[in-house]
Amino acid sequence: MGLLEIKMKQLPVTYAGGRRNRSFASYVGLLWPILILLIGFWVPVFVWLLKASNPTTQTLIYSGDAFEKLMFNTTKVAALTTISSLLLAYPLAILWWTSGKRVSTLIASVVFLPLLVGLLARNYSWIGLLSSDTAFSSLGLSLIGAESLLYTVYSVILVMTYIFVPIAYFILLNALDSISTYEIEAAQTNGATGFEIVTRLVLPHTFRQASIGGFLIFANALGYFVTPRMLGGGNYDMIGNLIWGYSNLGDFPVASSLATTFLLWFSPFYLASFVLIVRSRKRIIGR
Amino acid sequence: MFTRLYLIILVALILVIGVGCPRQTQPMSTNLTVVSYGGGAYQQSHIDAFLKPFGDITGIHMESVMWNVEYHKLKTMVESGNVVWDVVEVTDAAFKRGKRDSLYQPMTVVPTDGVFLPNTVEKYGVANVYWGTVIAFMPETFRAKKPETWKDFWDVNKFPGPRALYDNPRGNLEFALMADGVSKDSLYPLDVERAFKKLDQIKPHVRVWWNEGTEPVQLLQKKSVALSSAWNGRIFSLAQEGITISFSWSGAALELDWWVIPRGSKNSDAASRFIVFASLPERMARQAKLIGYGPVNTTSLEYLSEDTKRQLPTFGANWERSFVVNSDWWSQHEKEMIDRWASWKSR
Repeated sequence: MGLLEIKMKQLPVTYAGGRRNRSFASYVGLLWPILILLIGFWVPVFVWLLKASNPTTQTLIYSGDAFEKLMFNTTKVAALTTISSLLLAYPLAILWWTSGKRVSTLIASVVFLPLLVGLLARNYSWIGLLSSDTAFSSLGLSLIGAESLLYTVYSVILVMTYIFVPIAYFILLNALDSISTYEIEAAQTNGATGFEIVTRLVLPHTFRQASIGGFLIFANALGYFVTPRMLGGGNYDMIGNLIWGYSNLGDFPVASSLATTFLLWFSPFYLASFVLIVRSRKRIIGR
Repeated sequence: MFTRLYLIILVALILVIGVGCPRQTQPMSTNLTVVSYGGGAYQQSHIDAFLKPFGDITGIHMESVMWNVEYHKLKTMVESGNVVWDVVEVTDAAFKRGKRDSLYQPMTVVPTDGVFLPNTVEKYGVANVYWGTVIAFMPETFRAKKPETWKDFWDVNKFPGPRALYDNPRGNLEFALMADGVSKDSLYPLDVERAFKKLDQIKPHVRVWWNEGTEPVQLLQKKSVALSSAWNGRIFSLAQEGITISFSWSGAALELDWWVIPRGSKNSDAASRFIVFASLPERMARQAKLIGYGPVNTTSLEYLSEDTKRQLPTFGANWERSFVVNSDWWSQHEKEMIDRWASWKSR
């Protein structure tokens, strides 16, 4: 009996058995993460709606004039961050995938090490790096023209990209793993250049996971407010800064209606990414 | 097997949460949390002049926290009944607003040692210092002609370079009006429309809207901005370290800060005693030496050198050139102005 046959025979049995014999205790054991996630999502949303629809305020949908401009800025920054993160992560992941042990260890450590440092410290170190009058510049290390970059929308996107590249990188690694080396070899024997292999084999293969990664980064970046404030100097605030500002003031009805409007505004996007993730399960698990 | 593992994890989680919580829910009577308006050098002056010595004498464990007088944070805390702060520093406007909203509780003892400036000791709190927001710049940035007034601050041709301002309407509206030619004695009631119109002019040149007192002096030192509004105490404390930042008292905004005890504090007696301690002449003199703000207990001036006295906002010549922020006006309009500020800034 071949190995494959054994697998085919065993799989449905263990699968069915696992499902039928699951005890109540194991349900509790497996479901508590779902419970936490559900509570973590629905309770705040419920509270927002309650606060925002307070009869004395009646501001379920926020309609202040600050909203539109901040919403545009938020979307722009998040979208550009997503695109540049993916653009940077692709070469990194492909290099990691194709190179030997030494280079791939170097790449992994370059991506990993910044994750050990807190977000705030990373923001501050970028401010230091871009400032003209710090230790970096006296060592001649300040980037050319960096001073004019600091406290602009570009420095915000730069640092947010830096923060999100590792996420894009790890997701792409996973995607690259699904490409068989035989396919690459076949392409090479047929005379495909490196560029052709990337554009006609690697990109189509990784497109789905890259877009899931993109959705994740975009959704995360939308909620950023510390980095935009620190690197943008208060001139390139995002919607999170406005929500944060109003909740700091204790004006919870306005903060809540802002959060509700934000959620409604992006709900088509969230729905689309949800569908994509549900569909990708089919490819990964097979049902 | 699996269920046992999950059970262990669950129990461990509950234990961790259970052990972590009591600190929050049952404040120990030997803890006193003092909240300062602003961190950095200012918070340090409170720790060195008031918190450490008071803790040493009484054996009470002192906890130092900072905030930016986000009024509703305090209001929410008092209304929720879970008051974790014992002594809070508030602005004059927030003091008046809080008394209207009955957020504070009366002190059990009041300071009597020394001579206080008029209207600085009340049932619901004791004032601490007068502090000033001034125009600041690095001496090497403007060598020939130095910016003096808010008109100069707005004049980007005569004094080129990016600006920084406090991310708060309080003070900035007054500065804008003065830049537009209003004299410091006829500022109130503020002409809000005119102020925002004048602020429109400077907005493209404001590179950073700062939130924290340490920011403006850092921005100036790093040359990220050429001109900034800054709290005079931060410049004073840097001068103690040998770093010179130039500034002008002309049109400076002076404000009075108060110590209050939030209603519902479990340590109101110890909190009152702390406030009395912090109002002693020697203690106030110690703080003035560290941060250069004007103590309300005038007896403390006897402990200060002529040079230090000259740098306080309450010194005659400085007081003449600056103005006191009208807390009555701000206590009535602060919320409305902050809303408007947020939407103006994002436009």
